[in-house]
Amino acid sequence: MTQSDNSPGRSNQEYLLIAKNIKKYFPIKMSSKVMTHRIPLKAVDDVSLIIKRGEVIGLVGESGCGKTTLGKLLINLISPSEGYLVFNPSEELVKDLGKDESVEEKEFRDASMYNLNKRKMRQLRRKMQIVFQDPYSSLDPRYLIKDIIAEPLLSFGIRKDEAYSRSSNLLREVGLSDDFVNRYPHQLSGGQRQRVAIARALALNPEFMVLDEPTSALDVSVQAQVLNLLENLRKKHNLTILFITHNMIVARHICNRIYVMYLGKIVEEARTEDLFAKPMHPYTVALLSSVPIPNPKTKRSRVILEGDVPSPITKPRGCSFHTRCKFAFEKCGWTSGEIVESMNYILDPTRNTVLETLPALSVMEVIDENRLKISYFGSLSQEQGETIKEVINKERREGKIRSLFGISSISLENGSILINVFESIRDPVLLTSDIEHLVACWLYEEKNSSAGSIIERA
Amino acid sequence: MVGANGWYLKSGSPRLNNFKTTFKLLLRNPGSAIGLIVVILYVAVAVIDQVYPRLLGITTDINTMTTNFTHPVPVPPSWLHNFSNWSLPFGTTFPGIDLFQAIIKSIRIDLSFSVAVVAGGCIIGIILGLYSAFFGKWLDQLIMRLTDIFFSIPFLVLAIAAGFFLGRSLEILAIVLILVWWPTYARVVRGQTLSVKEMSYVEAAKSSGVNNFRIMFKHILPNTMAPVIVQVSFDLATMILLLAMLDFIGFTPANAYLPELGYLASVGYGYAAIGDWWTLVFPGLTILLLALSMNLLGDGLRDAFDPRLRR
Amino acid sequence: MSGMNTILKVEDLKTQFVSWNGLVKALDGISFEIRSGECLGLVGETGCGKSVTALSIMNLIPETSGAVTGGKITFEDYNLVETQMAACKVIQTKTKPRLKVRRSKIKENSRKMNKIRGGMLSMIFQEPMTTLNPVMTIGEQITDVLYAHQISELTQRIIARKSITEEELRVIYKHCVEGNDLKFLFDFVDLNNGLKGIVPQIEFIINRKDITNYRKKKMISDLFDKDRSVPTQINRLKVWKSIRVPRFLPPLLKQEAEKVAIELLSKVSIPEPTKVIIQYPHELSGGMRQRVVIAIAIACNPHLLIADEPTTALDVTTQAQILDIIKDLKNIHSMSILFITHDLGVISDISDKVAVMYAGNIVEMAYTENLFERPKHPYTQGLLKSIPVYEQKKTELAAIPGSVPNLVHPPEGCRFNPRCDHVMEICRTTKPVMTEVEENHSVACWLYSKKEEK
Ligand SMILES: Nc1ncnc2c1ncn2[C@@H]1O[C@H](COP(=O)(O)OP(=O)(O)OP(=O)(O)O)[C@@H](O)[C@H]1O
Ligand SMILES: Nc1ncnc2c1ncn2[C@@H]1O[C@H](COP(=O)(O)OP(=O)(O)OP(=O)(O)O)[C@@H](O)[C@H]1O
Ligand code: SF4
Ligand SMILES: [Mg+2]
Ligand SMILES: [Mg+2]
Repeated sequence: MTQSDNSPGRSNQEYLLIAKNIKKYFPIKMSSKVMTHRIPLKAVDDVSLIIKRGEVIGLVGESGCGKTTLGKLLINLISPSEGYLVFNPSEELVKDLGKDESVEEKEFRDASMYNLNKRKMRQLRRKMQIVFQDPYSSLDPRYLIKDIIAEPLLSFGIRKDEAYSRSSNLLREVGLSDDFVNRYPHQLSGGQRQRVAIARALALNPEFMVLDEPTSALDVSVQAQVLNLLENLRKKHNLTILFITHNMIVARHICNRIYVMYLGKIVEEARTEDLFAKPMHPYTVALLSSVPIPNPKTKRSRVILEGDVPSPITKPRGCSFHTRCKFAFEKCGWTSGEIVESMNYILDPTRNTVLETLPALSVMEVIDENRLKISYFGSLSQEQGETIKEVINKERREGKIRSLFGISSISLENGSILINVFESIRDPVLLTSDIEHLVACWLYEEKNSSAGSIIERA
Repeated sequence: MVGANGWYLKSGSPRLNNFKTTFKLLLRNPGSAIGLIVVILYVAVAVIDQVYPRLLGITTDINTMTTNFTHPVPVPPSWLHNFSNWSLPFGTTFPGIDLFQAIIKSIRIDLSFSVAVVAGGCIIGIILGLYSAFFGKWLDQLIMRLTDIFFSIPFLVLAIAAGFFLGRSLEILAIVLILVWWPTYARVVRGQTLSVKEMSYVEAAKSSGVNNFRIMFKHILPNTMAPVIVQVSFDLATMILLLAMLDFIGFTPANAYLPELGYLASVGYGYAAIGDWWTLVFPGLTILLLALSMNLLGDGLRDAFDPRLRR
Repeated sequence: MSGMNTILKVEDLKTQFVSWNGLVKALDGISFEIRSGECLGLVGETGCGKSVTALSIMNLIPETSGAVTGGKITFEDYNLVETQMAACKVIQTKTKPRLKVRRSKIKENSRKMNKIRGGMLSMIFQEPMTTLNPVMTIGEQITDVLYAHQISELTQRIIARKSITEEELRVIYKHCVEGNDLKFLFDFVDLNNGLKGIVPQIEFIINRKDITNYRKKKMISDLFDKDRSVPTQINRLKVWKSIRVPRFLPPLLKQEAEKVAIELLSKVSIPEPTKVIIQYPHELSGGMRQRVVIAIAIACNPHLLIADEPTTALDVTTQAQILDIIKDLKNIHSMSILFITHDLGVISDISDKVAVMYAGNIVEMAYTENLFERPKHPYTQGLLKSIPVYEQKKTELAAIPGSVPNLVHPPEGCRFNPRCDHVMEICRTTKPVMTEVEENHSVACWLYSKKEEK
């Protein structure tokens, strides 16, 4: 244990980890007919978070929203496209937080883990560990259990006999008896494998642990065993945990604070009790209401989202949730492409008799993201233009087709209809709407943090 | 069904990592069991010929064949006339050499040649494939283009050309074949590595500070070996046939003192036409049996490694 | 819900597999029944035999690895496992078990089952990608099922709209005869007078005993032909043999089938079904694929739908959508459903009745509310206690110790006994049977059986 001398040991500072504007874009090959080009897949898109010592942070969201990627970024297992990550931030850095942008930027760059050299990074490695989702692929099938646990110790230069005695101690600590020492992973059940993975992560005595869906592959009865084990270990080793899961019930059970993720962005952050008592972001509301609760007596009003999660390659503009949001309004980042679809529906003469008097619709042309041109056969008169405006406005007032809210103005130009869409200034950002309750949604930004829960509004 | 099912695995379903079960599965299939036994016999003969030829009844120096230029015409197997006489079990062939001895000697030469070529190709291929897949990016591009180039060289033409310019010797032939053979292994290993690399145990090893070299050779390589072993067993057979073929068309430096199965067969081919059948039949059968049993073994290995067939 | 007729009855079903290290007793005598319009939830941990139950009912146990070895499954009037059991048997030799397969019986069985499967009885599998054919469009896959089971219904739809000419009807009619769907011939005689005369003729030909079937078919074909030419004759005879999915279809039927496909897709809330029917499975998201699978499963108005973990591979929000669709099927179309899952939350949401499985046995069965309120079996109790409570936060979960037993050498007596807190002497030796402890609430546990004896 030579390294522990020059590292400051366990500091008692409040903050453990600060991540600032982390982005991870994977280049994806797209092949058109002529050539292949690369476009970015925004797996993690501008995430900042602060983790305090001793906390259990939950990271929830649907499949493919970037939870695993963020987890790996936070322990520097993959390197980001952009952003800074500071582990054990110094006092000054914390003090300067949010004061002066340029100073802060420089300090972060200097302290960032991503900019450390190889040797220093290796020292930090042992303080942060990860447990993977799939217990069947996270253990090398050709290694004995004792070798699996001893390997990280050996790689940090600990003597062989000591490493092996430590490894059997660790096994006992995670509730496996000594006769597992000489077995192969395939002779173990899922729960036992997950225990071995946890023991391996604990081997280097880490401060921070990322648990990537550690119980998703397990049965409920085994899940309970593992959750209990984690809770005990956390207390004993004074661990700080990032718990990634898609199971809200488990998240509620184990976490102090929860981050909700949607398409690479964090959309809400709150203490667990607050989040469940008063979810704010429309996505969180839907997510919570679709959790199946094992109690037939609980009757809830269900919010069933329409459609699917959009692909992270073609992320919607503005708030990426606006395509499915039941509250989306003017500012949420509509594009003319999205409005075309609903126009097709509204301006169908078989649907609306008023439109029968008009000439036939010829073409809808998306000029750019913010403009849309609808032309008819023959140019429209002023009166006819008014009719169409009226039809659209009526639908808009009804509020069923949310994309109509994106229309800022309708005008008649050269005999065809020109529709302008609200320009998106920026994406909604995480803002405090309550103490320690942050939400990235225009609804709340709009009302200047005095908005109540959406459920009340609805 | 196997992967996601907790106890199914626990109850000891056979897995790749278990050498013993692979072996058992291999023996369960009669074809591959016979193949294995025959291959072992061949290898044993070759080894004995090298270290203690007297066991096989070969008394003379292993490096010289007794030629009988006064009677270069093939003599039929001795037991054809007198059943208790086994002094010349396979008869003789041109130029009066004992065919049995010649075949044993050529088995040794053939086997060591093909093992050398396959081993050489295998080692180069494995290392390049592993590095290529593990580090990716430009290295991957470079190595893969290299394999493309070597793949597109017609090895027969290369071998003949090398023979002309560098001289006909088994060593040069082996080097030429290694040069065109490694890309097969590089591709197999690379494909396998790409999938093993994504397994989370590799990432777990990375996150606990294990260095790249160890990850590559201790975690990834052992898990990519199954298809390589299968490939090796097929390639050994191919190599023997290839050498025999090159001999048959008279390309290699084989001669009466350095016999080789294809050479013996090609010599016999002439005599068989005038009725001396043994000169062709015995070398031919030897090649056939060897290649057949190696292929049977390869098939068996492939099945034994196939998780779908492990029930 | 009482008073409804039973649609599926499973009695003492036993299924075994022959494996590398012995005989896997995957189902050890399970019994349950489903009444029409009811949704039975089958819940249990991984490897307890839920999928095997479903596959046994569907007769889809692979004959290379296992077989139904006992019991009875009655689905409406059919006995589903009779032929299957005759076709494939497990033989216990001294050293290891072996399977004995009789090819002829297997063929007979699959011929029989093909009529039932996909028509009256259909199944949704867990992984939607494996059930959909990657090289066929969604539309083709749905219409294929329709052609196989629903030709007469399709025709009736066309006729009902009255947009059909006599000539077109002739074509369809002819097709139906080729498809051997003869029952249907007599269904709509009154609907169309123009063809009335033909039906008795066909009937006559079919009932003749002096000629071969081959000749009969030829004669019937000839009835419809005005201009006979040899090549079409041959072509038709080929079609004749493949009853299941005819290669030649009258365009009118094709159009109608596509219409039905679009209707089915909108039934499972797929937006823009007209676009989706020309797409391939890989172009759809997981949730959409699962919807398509459901659409195919309900294409022929099955009397019983078996859903094997249809939502396990999906996200919660998508799961909520799919559950909504299945609930609609149950409530609006009053379909009987066997719903298999390991998620207690889902089961409490969707099913009327729940059967809890443990290691190849059903250990408890009750109405959903009763089961969640008053679980009787120690395993059910443990299971319910081991999930975190949603409404409030608890510190420690009550986990069931140990893990699921190996089904090659399962524990003697009650298979739960090594993990049970209340284990008694008798549990280790004798297997408990299902006893009714309350009305419609039965448990297989000695804790309850003993009380009755006293
Ligand atoms: N190495 C990679 N190359 C390209 N794309 C990637 C890579 N890793 C992840 N992605 C993409 O990034 C997105 C986020 O992936 P990630 O694995 O982080 O999701 P997740 O939230 O963990 O999902 P899940 O719940 O399914 O585990 C996905 O769309 C995924 O396809
Ligand atoms: N083809 C097979 N060969 C051998 N054993 C099998 C086979 N299919 C299933 N089994 C065994 O039968 C038992 C029941 O399996 P089944 O697939 O029904 O479990 P399940 O309850 O559906 O689990 P899951 O929740 O994982 O889907 C398992 O223990 C499995 O190992
Ligand atoms: S910003 Fe808020 S209201 Fe707008 S789409 Fe996003 S979640 Fe809905
Ligand atoms: Mg993940
Ligand atoms: Mg299953």
